[in-house]
Amino acid sequence: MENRAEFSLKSNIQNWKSILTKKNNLTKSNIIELENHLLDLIDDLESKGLSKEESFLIAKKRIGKTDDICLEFDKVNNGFSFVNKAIPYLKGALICVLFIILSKLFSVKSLFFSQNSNINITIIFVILFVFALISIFSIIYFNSKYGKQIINKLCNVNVLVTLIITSSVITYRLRGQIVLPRIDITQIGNPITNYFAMEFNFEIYKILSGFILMTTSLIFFWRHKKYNKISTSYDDYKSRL
Amino acid sequence: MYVCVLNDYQMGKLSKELIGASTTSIILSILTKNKSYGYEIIQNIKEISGGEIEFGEGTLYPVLHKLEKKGLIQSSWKIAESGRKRKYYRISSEGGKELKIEKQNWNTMNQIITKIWKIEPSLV
Repeated sequence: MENRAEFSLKSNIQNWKSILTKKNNLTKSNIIELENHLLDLIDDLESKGLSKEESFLIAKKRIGKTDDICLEFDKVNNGFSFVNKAIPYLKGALICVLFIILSKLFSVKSLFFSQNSNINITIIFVILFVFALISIFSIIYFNSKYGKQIINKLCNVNVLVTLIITSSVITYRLRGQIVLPRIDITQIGNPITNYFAMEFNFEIYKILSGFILMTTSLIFFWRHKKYNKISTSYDDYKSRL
Repeated sequence: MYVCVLNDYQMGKLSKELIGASTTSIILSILTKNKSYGYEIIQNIKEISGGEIEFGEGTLYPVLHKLEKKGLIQSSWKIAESGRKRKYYRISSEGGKELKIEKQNWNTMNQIITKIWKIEPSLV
């Protein structure tokens, strides 16, 4: 009975914390501060003879309604709320860009291997496809084994930006080493006379927008990290070890 | 507004507006004595005010963070005996100056009100 009550208290605190986290207005340190306040209140009420459930309910009420708390915190954390709301959209855009670049890298790599070895391009495609499948399934397997840590880490803005830059550099380097099939557009009656200049301009726009997207994402990521930073006194920490 | 304040006064409770106006002075005064964390600050306020001042305890933290942004208080995380991370607040030199001004303002206000009530005792 006692264990059941303890378990219930933990899950209730967890639920209360998850509601606060979902609201976007509170930083990690804000939530830790409030959680410790709640725990102090519970301890205090329990020492007065109240049960865990009663203590939790009273402590929660004393701290206040989550909407009221979020409203008050929003006035102080207005910069954080914006960053917190923007990050999922930026992550989505970065994942999309990464997918495009990886598919390009796959096709360039296939061409590179087919030109530099005697293996048929279809076999190379199959090998790369199997490799991609194994990677995806191993990520899913390790993720289910160790919680959601791996996917969360892979979806971090800094990891995504590093993957995009690395994949782009490899793709461009490989493209320089392979002979790409060229189409003479004058033969198919293309009305655009300066086609290559136009393609070059589009390439610049693509690089520029990618650069803006990645820089913005990194700025937001570091600001988000700075807001959530908890600098514990080192001396206190050391003395406890 | 006045009716509301008078009703609260008659019921023996301080109005939200009055508590809101005095929060900065109260917090700075408490932190002058010692560095403290949120829960302890609230317990101190309750004890000193004899339970007269009561507000949503979660809303104290945004007030503390506002004061920290203004540079009136400073904070640092420490690990307590219980193993819990606690954010301790202490008054800064700017906060000390602000508290002096606040004290002067409250004294002036007190003098004005006392003067009015002495002249017009019917208001008391």
